[in-house]
Amino acid sequence: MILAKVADGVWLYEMPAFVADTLLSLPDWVESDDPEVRKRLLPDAYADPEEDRAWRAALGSSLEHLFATRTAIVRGDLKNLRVHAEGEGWESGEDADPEPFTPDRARFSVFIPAAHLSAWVSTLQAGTHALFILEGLSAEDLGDELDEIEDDDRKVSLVRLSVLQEILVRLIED
Amino acid sequence: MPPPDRATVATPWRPLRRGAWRAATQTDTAPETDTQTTTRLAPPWNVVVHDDPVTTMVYVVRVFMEIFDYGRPKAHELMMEVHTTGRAVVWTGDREQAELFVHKLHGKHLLAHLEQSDADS
Repeated sequence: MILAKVADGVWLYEMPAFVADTLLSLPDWVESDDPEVRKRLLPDAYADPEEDRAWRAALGSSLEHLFATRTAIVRGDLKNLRVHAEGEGWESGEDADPEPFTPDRARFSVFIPAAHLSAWVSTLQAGTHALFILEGLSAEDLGDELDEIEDDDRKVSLVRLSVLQEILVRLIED
Repeated sequence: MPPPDRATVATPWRPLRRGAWRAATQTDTAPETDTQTTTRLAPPWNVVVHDDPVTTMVYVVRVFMEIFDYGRPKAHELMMEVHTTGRAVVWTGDREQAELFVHKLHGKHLLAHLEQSDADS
């Protein structure tokens, strides 16, 4: 995967199908109605239940609205996900691919407009929390070497999590 | 000879209320009645950020810089405190502002809550 910062935004391209699939799943993870996910994305502000209820009544809905708006932005950008052959540039007609296109050579690209970057960063961050909870991962899992993990599903979840983290970090890098 | 009037007797030294001493040759007067008004300031509130297993260090530094307008060294120092001790008080002040900060931190998906500062409790 290549991340290219251009004047009006960021291109993510040369993404293998697994990375594209992870991004396409991101909005659904963030909007999961799993109680633990909702609790993590809308955590307590006060230890005192009474104070916290008042807090949620006053501000909880504004956070929900904020998150929904950001997720909608990401979902909208992902509708423009394009498929191309490995080695092909993201610009139309650039580096025309002389080799026949085969599924294993499929790569994906998506453009994130500069005005949407903040929504993407927050949604990626929310997605890491949601995925961590939905897949039942633990802090210990994150310290394990992938080769040492026998459970394939767990391994896939950890790679998806690292994909989200890597894209997020590269987006906010100076 | 009649005893001197108690109110006009001179004593060489006597303590003042604040512990200072003075030559006390002046006339004593009736005891003062102090009327004190105590104004207690509203206790300060801490904004506390907690560690979590998935948030990256670089993201936390970025959020601290953005929300609190901290320079990178301070933001990094606070991030390290969160990372190594599990939590850090990242700001202390009036409640209204503290609530605003916690709202912003929740908007960035950091675990944060408000607590009254021990300094005034």
